[in-house]
Amino acid sequence: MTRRVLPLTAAALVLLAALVVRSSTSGTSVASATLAVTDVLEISLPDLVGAGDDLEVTVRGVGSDGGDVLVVLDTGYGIDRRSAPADGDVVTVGFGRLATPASRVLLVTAIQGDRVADAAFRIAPGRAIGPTDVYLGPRTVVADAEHFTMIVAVPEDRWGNPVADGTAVEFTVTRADLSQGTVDVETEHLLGSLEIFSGTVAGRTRVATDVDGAGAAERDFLEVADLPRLFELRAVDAVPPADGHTLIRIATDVLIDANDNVMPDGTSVTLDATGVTGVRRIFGQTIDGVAEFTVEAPGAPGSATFQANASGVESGPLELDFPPAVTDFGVDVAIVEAGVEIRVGPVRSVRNSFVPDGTVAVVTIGDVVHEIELLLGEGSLILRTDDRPGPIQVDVLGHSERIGGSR
Amino acid sequence: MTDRLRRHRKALVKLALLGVLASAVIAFVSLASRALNDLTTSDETEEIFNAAALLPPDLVEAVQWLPDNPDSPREMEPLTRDDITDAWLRAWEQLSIVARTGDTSGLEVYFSNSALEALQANADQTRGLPVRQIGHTLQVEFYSHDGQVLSVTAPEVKLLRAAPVGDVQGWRDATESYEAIMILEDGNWRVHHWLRTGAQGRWWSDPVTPATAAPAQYRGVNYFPADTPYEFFWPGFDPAVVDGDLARVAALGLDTVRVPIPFEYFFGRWTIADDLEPVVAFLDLAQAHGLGVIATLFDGRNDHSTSRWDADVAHVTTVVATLARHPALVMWDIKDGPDRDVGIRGTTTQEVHAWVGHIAHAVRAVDGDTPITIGWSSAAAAAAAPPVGDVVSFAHAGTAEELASLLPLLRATAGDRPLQLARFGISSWDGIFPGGHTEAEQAAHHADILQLVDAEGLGGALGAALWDLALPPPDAGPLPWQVGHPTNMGILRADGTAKPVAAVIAPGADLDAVPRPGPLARLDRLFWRIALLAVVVGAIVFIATRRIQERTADADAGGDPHPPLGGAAEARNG
Repeated sequence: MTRRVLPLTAAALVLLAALVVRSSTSGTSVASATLAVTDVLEISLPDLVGAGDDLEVTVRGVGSDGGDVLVVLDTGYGIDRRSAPADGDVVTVGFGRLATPASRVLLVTAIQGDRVADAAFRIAPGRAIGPTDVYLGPRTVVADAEHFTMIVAVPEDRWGNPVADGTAVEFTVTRADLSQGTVDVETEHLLGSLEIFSGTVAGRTRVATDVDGAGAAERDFLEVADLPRLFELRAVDAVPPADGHTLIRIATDVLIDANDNVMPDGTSVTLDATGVTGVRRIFGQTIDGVAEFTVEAPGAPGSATFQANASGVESGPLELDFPPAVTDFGVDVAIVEAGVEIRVGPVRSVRNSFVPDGTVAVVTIGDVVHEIELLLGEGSLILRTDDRPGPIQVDVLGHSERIGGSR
Repeated sequence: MTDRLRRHRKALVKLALLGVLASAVIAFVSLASRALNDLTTSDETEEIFNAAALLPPDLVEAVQWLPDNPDSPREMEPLTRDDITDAWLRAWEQLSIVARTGDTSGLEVYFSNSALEALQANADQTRGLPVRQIGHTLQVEFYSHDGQVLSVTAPEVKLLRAAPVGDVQGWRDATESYEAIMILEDGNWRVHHWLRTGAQGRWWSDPVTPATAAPAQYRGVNYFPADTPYEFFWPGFDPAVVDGDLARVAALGLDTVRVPIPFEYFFGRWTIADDLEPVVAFLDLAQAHGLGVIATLFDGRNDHSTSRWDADVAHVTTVVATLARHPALVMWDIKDGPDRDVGIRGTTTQEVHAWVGHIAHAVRAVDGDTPITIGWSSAAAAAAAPPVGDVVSFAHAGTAEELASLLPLLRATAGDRPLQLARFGISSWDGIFPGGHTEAEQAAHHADILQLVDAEGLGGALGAALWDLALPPPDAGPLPWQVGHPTNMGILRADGTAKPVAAVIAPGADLDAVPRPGPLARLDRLFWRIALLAVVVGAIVFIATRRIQERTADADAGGDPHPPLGGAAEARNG
């Protein structure tokens, strides 16, 4: 064991000594030369290159011992790198045709080791080629000659470059009545735009675009009627008796705006009905400019008023007088084994037919009210009592019959 | 003896069982936590949500909107402007992603039509040459009535474009202008056209325009108050303490102090002149004592990702504009040791150099008079750095001989720019661990370095610290020597008394008279004293143990009635 202690102690001391030496020399490291570019190369290229034309870059001041010359073309959308051996003082690098979209200002950098040069040139876009991208919105406007939509054309040349500002863009607008107009604008900020005001005739308006002979897909928008003018209501059917079952149709006039444009289908109209049986609101939509509502005749005779509202415009009131559906009927009272039976009917309407099944006869005996649903115009009620009741009133569809008492 | 062995065996078995049990518990906890983690962060969850990464807030703030073109058909809604900002930044980021990874799948989210086709066509060639965003200025030119077509100009897009220079990836600090069409499609704003209308730039290594004021010869010291160093300096700024300290600096014969201006404490991007009142007060005090001040910018700002550069420029523009005219200011130091920031968030050496150049040019744009330097952390880092500033500064903790060996390369880098030691010196910490120094060694080291500075005509030299400090720097480790060295770099002891180095530091000091440590001086340290003592004690113990063993062996050979089995076997074999 003792033989091992001495070498271990010695090794530890050597390690410590190494640590000391290392700590005393910390901060020293191998220095390397700085990396800095020198602008000694020179690039020759035209200031303006047509889109689709060949690009050739000449680099001067090349060192024959500096390795290949790398020429980097930055199109704004990406990089194209070409390199050429440095055979002499001048190197020419060809990039071929500029046949992809490119930003208007392109950058060229020539690099040989730490020798660099950079230059820029402009690309001249070609003529517009179709189809031009066109955007139109909003797609629906009011045909009142005040509202408008906007069409925007973003024309490009055949390589995808935006055409030069000032390029003429022609918009041809064809209205629903086939009247046509043409407006010329010039591109600015890479696009041409036009505000298209509505006419006074509702319908589909179509817009064609032409940029320097290049076409575009047609765009269209709807011109729709403005708010309706004042309108009236009418009863489509004859006014039925107030039997609580017969249906009657109420319709608006054809809803048109100030320019006689019919309101588009689906225009919402509400109908408010007020009569002896209460108040009710019905919702409807126009078809061909007309909103039609079907209502049930009231269960009691009397007057009912109808009023419609379309887009905030209210119609004039329509007042209908519903005549009685029943003018008389019989009521009998008989003593039967189970008590006292009250028989109502037959109840016939003014059209001499039984009132509809389910019509309710309301029997009032003093303060007590009973209801009988009539079937084939008749119905009965048995009161479990040995005494003949006092005065009895029976009401059917607003007509009353009384027996007993004062009668 | 048998019972003892049995007890030992039982104890070993118990220990083994405990070990197995502990291992089982650790394994169970590990597996359970992993399973829980899988449940909450499964790949499926990520696929479903596929949330876009948040944009760095600094980058979002680096977008400035100019007033909209009054001829624009429609006024842009605030939320739409936010969407456009987001789409614009993400579109640019896609270019960098394509260059970095070659993955073009994200392009169609931010580009359409011709722009998309062009980017996809160029993706292969673009790889390896990323473009980084620094800041954008945008202006709405046309916003269609229906809110689906936008024409926007970007009069100033600041970028860092990569270029292969030599064997490394160099950078071009570019300011470009753009015009773009963006279309709202499927709820996303996509770039339809993207036109560069102008481009300017400079290489990352291009020097700044020289300052109108020539840099002077400095002899000074890096300054922190003794009790409130580093991050506590400005929050605890006490004019009375600083006044006393600066008086001591002047009394030492020094002419310059170097102080940090922390980025975050002075509100970074949002710094205003009023925030800098303590710094102005410091400069006033320095002026009163006839001292110059080297202001070291960006203290604590170590992440130099390009998304932060715009905030950096905003900060430094205010700081420089506020302080540049002060008579006490003698130099701007862009940052102390920016080379140490390489690797933070993946920044490369050349990217850090590009940041230094970007900031130096921003400083020069505001202040054309005051010299600029960069306080590289070593002579090697300074030699490898591009020639950006007016003065080449670096720290040096090594010997004068090492510095002398690096000077030729430094001079080649610096050209006709002066060299300056931004920080030099060794500590006087002498602990029980190796690597310590005595105060005499510290003074001798200073004398050697200053002799070299004088002999080689270096532009200046600043001692590492005025005081032995109460606290180590925030990034110091916890180990004794990591705390001991940085807190004992001072010229003055913490109790206010002067160390031997105080007599060396002033210009004109008799440096030859400073006693140099002899060959054995290294042994005159606490560590070596302890080590030698340990060796002596160890040797004594070793010898004593051996003597005792020999005597015991002699006694056993003299008639032990019950010799050990080993002894019997030995006897038989013999």
